[in-house]
Amino acid sequence: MPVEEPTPTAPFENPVLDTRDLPRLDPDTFERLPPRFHRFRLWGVVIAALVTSAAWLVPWLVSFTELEASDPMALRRLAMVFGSIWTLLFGLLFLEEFKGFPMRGYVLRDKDLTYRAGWMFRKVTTIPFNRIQHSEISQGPLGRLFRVNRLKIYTAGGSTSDLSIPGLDPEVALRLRDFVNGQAQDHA
Amino acid sequence: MHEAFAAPRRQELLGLIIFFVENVRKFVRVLFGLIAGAAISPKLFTYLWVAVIAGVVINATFSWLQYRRFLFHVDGDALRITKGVLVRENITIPFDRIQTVHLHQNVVQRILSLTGVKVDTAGSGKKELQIHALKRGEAQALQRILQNYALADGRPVVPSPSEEDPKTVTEAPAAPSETLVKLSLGRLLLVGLTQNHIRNGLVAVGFLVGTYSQFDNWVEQAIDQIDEDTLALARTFVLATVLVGVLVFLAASVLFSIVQVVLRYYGLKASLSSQSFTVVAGLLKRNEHTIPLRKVQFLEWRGNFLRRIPGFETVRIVQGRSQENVPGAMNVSIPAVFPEQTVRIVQQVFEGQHEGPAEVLLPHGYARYLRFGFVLLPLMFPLLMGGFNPWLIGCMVAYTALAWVWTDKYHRSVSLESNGHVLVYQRGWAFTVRTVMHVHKLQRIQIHQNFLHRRRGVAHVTLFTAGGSRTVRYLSIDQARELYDYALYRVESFKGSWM
Repeated sequence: MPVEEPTPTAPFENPVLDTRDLPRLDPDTFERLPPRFHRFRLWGVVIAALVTSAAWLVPWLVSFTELEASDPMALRRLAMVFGSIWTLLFGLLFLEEFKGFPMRGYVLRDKDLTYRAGWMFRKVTTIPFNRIQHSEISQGPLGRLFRVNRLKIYTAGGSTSDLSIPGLDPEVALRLRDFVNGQAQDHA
Repeated sequence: MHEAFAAPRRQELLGLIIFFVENVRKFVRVLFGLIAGAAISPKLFTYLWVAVIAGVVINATFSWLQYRRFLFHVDGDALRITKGVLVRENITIPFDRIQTVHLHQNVVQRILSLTGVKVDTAGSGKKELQIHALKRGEAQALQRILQNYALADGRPVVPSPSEEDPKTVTEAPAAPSETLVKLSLGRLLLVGLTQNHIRNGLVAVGFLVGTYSQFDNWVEQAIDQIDEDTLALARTFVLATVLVGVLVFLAASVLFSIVQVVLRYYGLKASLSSQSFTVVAGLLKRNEHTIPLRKVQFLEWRGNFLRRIPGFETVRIVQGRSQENVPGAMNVSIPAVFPEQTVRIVQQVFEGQHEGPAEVLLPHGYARYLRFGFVLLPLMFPLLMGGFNPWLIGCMVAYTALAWVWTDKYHRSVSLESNGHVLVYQRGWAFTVRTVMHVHKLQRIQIHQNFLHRRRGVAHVTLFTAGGSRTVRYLSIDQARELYDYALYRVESFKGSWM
C-alpha cells in the first residue's frame, strides 16, 4: 500500500515520551473577540427575549380584560408557568453571555487554528492547516451593523467538518483568512 | 487506454430505457395524489388517463433528450461530462479528486445487462456523479482508468500504446487479490439471524407489558364483581394474547432482518489486495465497490452478543464522503468477518503500524455513575404515577440490578489505545464497537465539556475524519488534553496525502 512514511523517525516510537514535550494549547494565549461582538450577542438575546415574552405576557394581560370571562385564574396560572420557564431560560442565556463571552477566542499557531467558546458547554476546536479545503468570510445584515464578520473554514467530507469563528473584526477576518489560505497551500 | 473514452460519447442506447423508467418513477410520485383521487372519484379517472398518456409522451421525449445530451469522455487527467436538457451542465472531475468509483446494477440494468458507474469526489456539498448505462466490460475499463489514479497514489498509469485491447492495457498494477469473505447461503442466514432486531423485540416486549399492566389496573376496579375463577381466566387470556403478540412481533422482526440482509448481502464476495478492498453483493441491486486502501478513513468492527456465538463481526469500511449521513451510498460493510480475517485486514490496511507498545486511555470512574443514573431515569415514570404493587417493585429492583451490571460492564469495556500511529477505540458489552484509524487521518479535533464535567475534571474528545466523527467520552481532562495535543502533533507533522 503506497502510504507514505509519516515522519522520518522510526515508526515505533513511544508516544508516552513524546507527549510531555509536545506543544500544548495554552489557555492564556487565546485572542479575545471585540467588545462590540458582545453587544451584538446581547442585543440578539434581548430581541429574542422580547419576541418570546409574548407567550406569557399576552395570556397574562388577556386574563385581566373582559375577553376572558370564564376562568381568568386558570389563564393567569398558565401565564405564570410560561413566564417562569421564560425567565429561567433567558436568565441562563444572559448568564451564558456574561460568563461565556470572555471565554470566546481563537489561537492562531504556526500549524493550526483553534477556536474556543461556551461557558455552560465549552468547546475547543482545532483544525490543522494541512487539512483545510477552503475558507470563506460571511456577514449578515446585523453583522454589518456591528461591523463583525464570520470566518468559516471547511475540511473535506461534508458540511459538518468545519470551524466557524463569528464576531471577528472585518480586517482581522481578512488577514486571518489570507494567512490560513497561505498556510493551507504551503501544507497541501 | 483512453481510446474507448477519448472522444465525447453517449451511453449505450438501451440506457434510454433506464432514463425512461427513472423519469416514470418520478412522474408517478408527482401524480400520486391524482391516482389516489381516481380510486375514489370516477370523474378524476378520465383526467388520470389524459395525464398518463401525456406523461408517457413527455417522459419519452425528455428521456430521449436526456440520453442524447449526456456525453462523457476522458480528457487527459479528467473525466468530463456534459448533460442536461433544460439546464446544460459541464462537469469536469480531475482524477486526483476522485475518491471511489463504484459499479452497480439495479433490476432494470440487470435485465438489459448494463452496468452503472458511480463516481464520488468527497468535495464539500458536491453530489456524486453517475453514468447509468455501459456494457459491463466498458464500465470495468472506465472504473480502472478512473481508479488507477486512486490506487497508484496520484501517478497516472502509463498505457503501452502497442496494445489494442483496453482490458489488458488498463489492468491495475499487479496486486494479487485474495478472497476475504464469501457468504454461503447458510452464513447469510446466520448474519440475518444475528442482526440487532433483538433490541427492537425487547422494546416491543416492554411496550406490551406496560400496556398489559395498565389494562390490569383497569380490570382491578371491577374485581369485586367478578369471581376469582373468571378473573384468572381473563388474566390468562390477556397474558396469552400478549405473549402471542410478542412472539409474532419477534418473528416478524427476525424475518424483516433476514430479508434485509439477503437483499443487501446476497452472493457477497469480498476480496483484499495490497491496494484495495473489492466487495460485490446484492440480490436485486448488485453493487460492486472497489475501495483503495489509502482512501479508507477508518474501519469499524461491530459485534453483538448473538454474533459472539459463531464468533464473527461486521466490518464497516468508512471512506471520505461528500455529505454526512447519505443513506447507504458510501457505506461498505463486510459481514461475517472472523478473527483471522480481521488480522488480515488490519495487517493490510495498517501495514504493521498498529503493532508496538500502546498507551491506553480509560474513561474516568465518574462516567459509570453518570450512566447508571441516566439509565435509571425511566424508573421516574412508575414512581411518579404511583400505584405500587409487588410486581412493579420486583420489576424495578430487577431493572436496577440489570442496569448496574450493564453500565458497569459497559464502563469496563471502554478503552482507547494508541501506539502513536494507529488508534483503537473500543466500547460496548452486549453490542461491541471497535473503531480503528490512522491518527493522521484526522482533520479536526474538539474537546468539549459542560460545567458539571469541569467540576469533575472530565471532558469528551471528538475526532473528526473525512468519513465522519467519533467521540471519546469522559476522559480525565489531562488525558483528553494529552490525546488532543498528540493527535494534532501527528496530523501536523504528517507529510503526505490522507484522502
